[in-house]
Amino acid sequence: MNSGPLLLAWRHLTHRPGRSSLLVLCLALAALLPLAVEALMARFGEQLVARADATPLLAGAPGSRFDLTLNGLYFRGRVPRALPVGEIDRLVEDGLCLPIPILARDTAEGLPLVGTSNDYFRFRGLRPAVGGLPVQLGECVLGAEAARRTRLGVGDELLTDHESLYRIEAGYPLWMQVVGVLAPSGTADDATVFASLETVWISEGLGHGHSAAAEQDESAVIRADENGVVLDSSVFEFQRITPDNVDSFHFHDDVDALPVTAVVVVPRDAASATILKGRYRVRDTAQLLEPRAVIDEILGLVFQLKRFFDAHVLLVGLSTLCLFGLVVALSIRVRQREFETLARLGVARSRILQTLGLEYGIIVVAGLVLAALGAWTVVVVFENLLGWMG
Amino acid sequence: MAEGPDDSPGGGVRICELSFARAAHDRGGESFRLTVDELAVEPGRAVACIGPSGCGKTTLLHLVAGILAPDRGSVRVDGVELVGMPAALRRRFRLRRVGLVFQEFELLEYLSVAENVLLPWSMGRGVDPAAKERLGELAEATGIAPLLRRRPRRLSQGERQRVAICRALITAPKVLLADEPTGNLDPRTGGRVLDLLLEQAAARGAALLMVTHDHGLLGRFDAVVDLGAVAGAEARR
Repeated sequence: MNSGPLLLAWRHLTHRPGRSSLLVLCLALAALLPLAVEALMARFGEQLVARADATPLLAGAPGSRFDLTLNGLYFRGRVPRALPVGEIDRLVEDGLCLPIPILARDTAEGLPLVGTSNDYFRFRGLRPAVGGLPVQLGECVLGAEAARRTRLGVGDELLTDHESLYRIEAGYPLWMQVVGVLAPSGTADDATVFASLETVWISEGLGHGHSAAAEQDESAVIRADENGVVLDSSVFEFQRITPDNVDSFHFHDDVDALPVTAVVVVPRDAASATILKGRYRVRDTAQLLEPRAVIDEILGLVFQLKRFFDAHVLLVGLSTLCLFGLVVALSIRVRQREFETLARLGVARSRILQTLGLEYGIIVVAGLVLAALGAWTVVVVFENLLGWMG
Repeated sequence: MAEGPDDSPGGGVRICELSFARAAHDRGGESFRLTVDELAVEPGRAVACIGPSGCGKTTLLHLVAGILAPDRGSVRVDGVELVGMPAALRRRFRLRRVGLVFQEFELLEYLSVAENVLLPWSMGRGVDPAAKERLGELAEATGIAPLLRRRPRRLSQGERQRVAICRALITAPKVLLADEPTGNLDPRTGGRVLDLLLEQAAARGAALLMVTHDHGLLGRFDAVVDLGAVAGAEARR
């Protein structure tokens, strides 16, 4: 290929850097939003589906299936009702599945605090990069992103968040000991603090530890009878679980009635899944759903909304194209004399058109590359902001 | 005064029985007709073309360059008959074998002096080492060697015209056409530019046909054609 047209195109572009940069910027800005939205939708859609596919079934209290899915998969949002943990016994009684409890209502350092069993780590393939998994009451393990954000590591302590100063029935915030940091998984687990179900119940105020009633000042005893001892609020509750006080922690309620917000149900096989789904279809105290179906439904709604956005993008694209065409036409008119000179010298018309095409081609390509870089940056920034998605 | 017919039809410019007309709507309400019975410019000779405004001097130059096509007659340039040749081929012929110098220089402001001079090559068959070598020779001969990297806006009028002359000569054409190349220059600079043009044309054995209004320069040409006298040119409203 003759390099003359390319030389002329490049020289003209660099001769007026302000004009060229402005054109590139205009095109980049026009293309940035649709490209960024497309990239975000593709990325998050992919991740939502991948997480849903990795979770065969999800059980929870009756209510919104969207709330249950978001809570069970991403530990976000609140389920209106909790499921009693005793439900797990019903699930395991005939060995059709492995049920993994999830209690995700509270936070620690602003990150979701999830109470679960160690089966969860095995099921998700999560392994500690440093330290180990929680085995004692009061221990927790941090996801990789959670460790980065809190700047905590093995041996450090982490305080649970108190939801409201005015929620007096809730327990005190609980200091938990970090015993491990998980290797990054690229999922919602990375930005999560995991502890045992019992530890999270205690942090929610459903269980507590204090010195024995017998050791209390008599004035602190409100009532003592065959049902037990009732102490007043002057009794000091432990905010840290240590080997010395661990035995004092207890639950007053029926343990089977304590809450979980979701149960990840891993059926033994396809037949077991079918049986379980059949059983739960006729129950009105619990629901069992397939997360993939719910995520597909959510994505379907999102894509319906996106059609309106696409129509808008089409109109903006057309108007940008018209404006760009106008700029090209005006530019050709301004450069008419230059093209006449080239023609009088004997330069072929095709070469002149090639020069113009290359010049505006470079602008369009530069604009699109800039927009693609911008879209990539938006995706990275959003992934960091919405770490729970990734 | 016209040069006589060329016995060797291989070189220079030869025009026979040329007729060219433009309707009124093509010329802003004024019809135009140019007829030239015979005109020849031998290789190595310099011919000035004079005449009153509107007599068709620039039109004649455009016909010889193949920018315009006559209605009838013959225009042979460097041995090639242009009449009947397709426009695209005339363009290619012009780019390779005819050198053109304009009154307004017509340099591209966004190219350096060297790139302007090499333009017929870069937009034609491509710049090769021979073209670069020729650029060096021409730059030395015309005194623009120190200016090769500059942009035209940083040149004087005289320097610009020298660059334009180098551009016309870069393809080593056997025919040089100049349309009032000294019209925009002061007399002293104009004289130098003309000297350069005549010297370069003679050195390369090229036929030079130059349109001018400056009668003070006519003595330097081998021949002068008064188009108003020898050609049938008329303009009618």
